[in-house]
Amino acid sequence: MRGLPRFVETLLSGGRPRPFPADDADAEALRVAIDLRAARPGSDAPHEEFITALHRRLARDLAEPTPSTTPARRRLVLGTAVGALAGAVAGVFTGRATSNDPPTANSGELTPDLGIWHPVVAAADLPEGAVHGFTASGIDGFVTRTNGRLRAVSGVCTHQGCRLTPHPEKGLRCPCHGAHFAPDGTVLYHRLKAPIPALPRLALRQRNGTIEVYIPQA
Amino acid sequence: MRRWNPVRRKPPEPAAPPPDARAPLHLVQADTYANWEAIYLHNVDRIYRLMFSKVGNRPDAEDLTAEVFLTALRPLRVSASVGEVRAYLLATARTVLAAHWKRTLGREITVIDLDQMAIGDEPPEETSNSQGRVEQLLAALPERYRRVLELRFLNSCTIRQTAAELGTTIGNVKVIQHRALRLAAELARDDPSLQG
Repeated sequence: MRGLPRFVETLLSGGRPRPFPADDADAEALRVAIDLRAARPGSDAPHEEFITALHRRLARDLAEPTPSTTPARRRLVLGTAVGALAGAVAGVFTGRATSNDPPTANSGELTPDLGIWHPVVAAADLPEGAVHGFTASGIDGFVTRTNGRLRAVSGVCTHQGCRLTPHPEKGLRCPCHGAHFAPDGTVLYHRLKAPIPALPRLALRQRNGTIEVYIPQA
Repeated sequence: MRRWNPVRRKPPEPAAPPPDARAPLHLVQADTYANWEAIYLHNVDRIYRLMFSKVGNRPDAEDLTAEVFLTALRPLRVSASVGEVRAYLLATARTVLAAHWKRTLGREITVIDLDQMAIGDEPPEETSNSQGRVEQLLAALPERYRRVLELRFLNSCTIRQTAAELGTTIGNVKVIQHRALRLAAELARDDPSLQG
């Protein structure tokens, strides 16, 4: 069952109908279906819980001052709009770059205050051309070494968020719609209607023979 | 899920709107609201019912209602009159609904017609209008088509229950329901008074 009939059945069972490509005739039939459904006796009253919950949400929303427009804040917001993971990472870094923290260079070691360096794999276990997947604090990613250079990228397809799998020839492959990404995150191949962005990069470092990836904290 | 209660089959004549416990408490002096909460409590029921009549399902109606208030309340002056507030909320609701259809189906299925909405404070006239329209539309259909739509849409019967009621197969109910909707849509197109 698909298209109009599925939409109508969802309406009848009280769920949220899923979009489908509707033509003129479908639109007219839908109009009738919505009218009929809305005429079901007693079904158009809002739930008490909904009214209370929205009341609370509005109170919270209105209590907040109007969003401040300081540069740091604005850049943070822009960063988060880029995409869940990319946003989280970018947000963290711009936030750090623009914050007025006292300089920590003197203490000899930089310690991130908004995330952690997560050890992923021993550098010796990652030969040239290798791809190593990892999961840390809810972030999926891959560490790779190409032409001697280490990189870490997100392991989640930028199309619909499926988990990528490494493939010997095709790089990082999305099982859902078949997109391929290079180990540095660029899109190698897709057959989607609209272009998809490259995989967000993750910051990484090598320390005491271990490769560590920077995981921003939620 | 709400079960069909035979007593409710014919909705009571529009005479008395159900007493609303919330609204009167916060009613208003000199035609303005005391604060944003009064605006919210006095209008949330109406906006929700309006949205429900336009999308026909609870999850979407709740989301769109929330969107209306989240959008409208901040810029709203509390000193605005009850009528102004209501007009502003309705205008917001119209925009929100249009965006919803654009986002989901890519075409406007239903619209909020601001001219049709009475500005008065009477309980939603829209509802009783659409009740009448639905009855008219159903009456114009062949008997079997009408029965299937009544059972499924108004009386919350499942396909199986409808098939049992009409002494036919599940497949047949599906077919009739589909054809009945298409036919009703054609009737509504030819007779503008039946349109939503």
